[in-house]
Amino acid sequence: MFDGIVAGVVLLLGVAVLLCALVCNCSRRVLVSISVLTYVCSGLSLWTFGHSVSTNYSQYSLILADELAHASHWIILLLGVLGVFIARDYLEDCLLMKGETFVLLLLQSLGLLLVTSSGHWLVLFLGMELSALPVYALAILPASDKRALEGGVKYLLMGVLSSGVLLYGVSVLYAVFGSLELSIMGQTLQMALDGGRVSGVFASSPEMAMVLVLLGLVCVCMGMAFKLGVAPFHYAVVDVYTSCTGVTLFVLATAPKWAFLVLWLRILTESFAAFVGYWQPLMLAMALISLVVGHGGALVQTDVRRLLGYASIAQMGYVCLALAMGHKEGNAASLVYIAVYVATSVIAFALLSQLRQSAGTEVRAVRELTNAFSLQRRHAAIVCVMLFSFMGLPPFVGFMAKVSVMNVLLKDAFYWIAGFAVLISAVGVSYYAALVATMMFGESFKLEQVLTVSQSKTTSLLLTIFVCAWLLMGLYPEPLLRWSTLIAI
Amino acid sequence: MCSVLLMQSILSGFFFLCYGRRVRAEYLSWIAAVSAVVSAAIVAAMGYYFTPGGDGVAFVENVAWIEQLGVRYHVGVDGFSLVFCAMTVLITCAVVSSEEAKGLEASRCLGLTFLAQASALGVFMARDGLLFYFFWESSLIPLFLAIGMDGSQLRRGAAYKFFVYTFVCSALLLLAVLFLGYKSQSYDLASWERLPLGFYEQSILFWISVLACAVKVPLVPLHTWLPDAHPEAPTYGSVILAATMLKLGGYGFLRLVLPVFPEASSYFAWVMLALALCALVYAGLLAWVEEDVKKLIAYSSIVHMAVVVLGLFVVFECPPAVARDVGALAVVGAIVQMLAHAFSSGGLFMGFGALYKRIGKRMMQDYGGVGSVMPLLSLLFCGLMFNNSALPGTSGFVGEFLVLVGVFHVHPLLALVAASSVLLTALYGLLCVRKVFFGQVVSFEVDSMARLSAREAMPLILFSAAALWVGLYPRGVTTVLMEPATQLVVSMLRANKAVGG
Repeated sequence: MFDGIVAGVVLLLGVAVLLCALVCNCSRRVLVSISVLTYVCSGLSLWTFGHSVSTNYSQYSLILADELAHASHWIILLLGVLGVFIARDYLEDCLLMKGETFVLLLLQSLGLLLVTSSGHWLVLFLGMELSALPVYALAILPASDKRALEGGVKYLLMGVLSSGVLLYGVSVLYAVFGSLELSIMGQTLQMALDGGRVSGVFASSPEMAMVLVLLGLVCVCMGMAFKLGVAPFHYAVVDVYTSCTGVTLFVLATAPKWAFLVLWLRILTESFAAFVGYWQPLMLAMALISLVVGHGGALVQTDVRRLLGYASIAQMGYVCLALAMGHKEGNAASLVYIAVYVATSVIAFALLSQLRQSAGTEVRAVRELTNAFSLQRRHAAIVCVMLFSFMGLPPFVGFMAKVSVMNVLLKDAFYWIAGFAVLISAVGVSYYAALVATMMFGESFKLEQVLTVSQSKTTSLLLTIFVCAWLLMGLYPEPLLRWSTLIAI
Repeated sequence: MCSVLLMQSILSGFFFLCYGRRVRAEYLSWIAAVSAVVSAAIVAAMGYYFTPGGDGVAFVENVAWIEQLGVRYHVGVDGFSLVFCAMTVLITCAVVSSEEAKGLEASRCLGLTFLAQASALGVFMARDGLLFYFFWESSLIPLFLAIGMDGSQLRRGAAYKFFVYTFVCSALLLLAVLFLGYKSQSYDLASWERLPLGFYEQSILFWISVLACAVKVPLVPLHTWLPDAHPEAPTYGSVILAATMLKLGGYGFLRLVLPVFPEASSYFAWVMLALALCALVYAGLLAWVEEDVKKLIAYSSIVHMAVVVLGLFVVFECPPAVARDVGALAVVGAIVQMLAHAFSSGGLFMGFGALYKRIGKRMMQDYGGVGSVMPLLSLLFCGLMFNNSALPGTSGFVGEFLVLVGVFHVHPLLALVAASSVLLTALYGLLCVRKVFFGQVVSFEVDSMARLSAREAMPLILFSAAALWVGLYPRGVTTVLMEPATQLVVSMLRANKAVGG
């Protein structure tokens, strides 16, 4: 059990050291060094002590240490390190907070580590809240900006509400199954499901048990849908994307997506595998609604962040389509898609948040990106490449992600859904292409337009390595696909 | 050999895009010339040492690519591919030798040209279905950027329309490719040809594939993006679009639609023939009244590509006794027509590009008497317009004639309608030539135009020479094409019998 959370323990120690450093009024450089060192030590401990074991259902386990958890820990730590460097660059210009940001980042990473390796509802909930609270704090910054305050508070309220709904679902499931372990719940459900009725569990009648289990399932899915930003529970996503700072966007939109997909995957596979006939239509419906809402919503946006917010809803739609298949191949495809989405978002959001206008303010409206290519060639070119990948165009890795998802849909004979998904991606292409056109084709909207880049050498180096790896993955996706099949459950 | 060619094109493209600005201008054009010559040399070597194996394919490379999906990096060259690759490389040489490749944004022009060449070569050499689609879709990006960045005033809308239009229509092709791969447990195009598909399944897949190919060709009613894209595109963008990208559609019919869905093709052949004939006449009439020269050449492209589609589908409607020979001739004619169109539209766009560069106007009324001011351009432009109009001695005649032979065997009246393409092309072509080049010099601006420079003349001479060579010695091309065309037609006719055609 320790193997699964050794990285988290190191992170916690790091938080303690960082808090002491804050109290001692250490400089930002020291705080950044401590944060980076914490992540590096965490990584080292994961390498040394954390090894994958196959989940042993007969043992009581709060923390799972399988391949999926192990891979997730690596991803979260890597994204955490990137987040520290981006936050450092950000804090150089915008004097938001001194060092509390780094504490919040570490705590968020810790929470996500728990989320991805939890085998128990309580640990799951603990991780969820631990990862969400720092983001709530970051989302309202800067507090002087009313819009940021509004977006952050909306996100907080919706997040708390959805956590409440999820907790309600969990409590109902506990009432039925008498256990909070994911695997035991799944086993009990498997045994209790007898000819379409749930019997032999605590409930006044099998019909009541069925209703309670379905209620629990739906509540849990609602909570998870909020976390991932899946329609029709996407309300807060767009507003918080619009109003938050660049750092918060990075923190909010990248690692949590991976972590919560992994969590949803675990819940559906370990607890509700026997109920796939019930949650499959639900997932498909949510996916299709997400595609329509996401692509349709993004089409009319004039704010870059808002556009990307709606676009992320649509991307989650594709992930849910793969997840809805309910078997290992579908899960692997959903992991591929989310991995590609996260990697692409990391680069796109990081680069976009580094662009500054003449007054030092961030780029908000699409108009402000007009002719960005002639002003900041490399940045604009890489962002456009990421946008092409979001569209699902070869030779970029987004194409392979799309292929994986469509492949599983066709294998399970969901022809109409696959056709719809592919055609609605044409709507996606239209607004991404419009954004590319604005950045690369437009004339400067005002003569004195200035776009500067605020980026340190380290961040630049890290992002360059990331982009190179990303480009190679598009041409040779075999390692990515093989890895996803290996870690999928 | 194929991979070397692909890698060379891709690396050249990236080099020019990423580092071209740091290289001195005079060295840049030399490096570009070397790259283009290397590509041409590789294709020439492939042609010289072309010894097809049992299945008609040479220089095969087949390695695992995405094993999880069963997709392989399978490339190879048969008779069709060889001709198309040669054509692509010729277009690149023409663009590289042109004036634009030495201009302000030369690095971008060269980079996008080589990337477009890479994607086109990838399509022509791919023998794996998903690899085919991979290169098919990647061809959109270089053209989108070329039109949008270097085009004229309304370039943004034109690039956007081209991109979204083409993407939407070829989006479903991905599903068709994945479905076929799943059904046959392999993405090999040859294995798809042997796949026994039910008629209903085949029809749906046929129409999905036709949609994707027809928008690229472009076949009426999916043609509206082309007359918008061409006027706004830069000269090199128009040349690549017309001469290479449109051929992807024709090649898609040859490689994907006809061999893999022969029964559906046979059943719906009359629809395709009807569409092609309508497109022919409709686009020809539109070109006749068009005042914008670039739009006129765009409509001319639609006419010629409609003749190509005619030639490809005519075999299904021919009398069984002659179907095999006539059908093979018609297919060869369709491919030669594509070649001829590449030469004429490439050359016409280059030639008009020289005029546009001088006075920045596209309407015919702004020109007049250019012949007395720029005699060499007039000679070459008129020559290429004659190639367009299928004058005997030019490659246009070879292609047009062979296709008309095929259509004649279906019904003489249809051949009359098809032959109207020749009449209409002559009408609008000569009208354009008369208005632009003949008569009195219409304005001081036109009078003060400088003569063609060597760099401007070179691509025109290249295209004219190629058009004349194929026109006077078509054997050079048809010997390579006849064998695969006959094989294709034989397999198509087997299906024709099955459907009862």
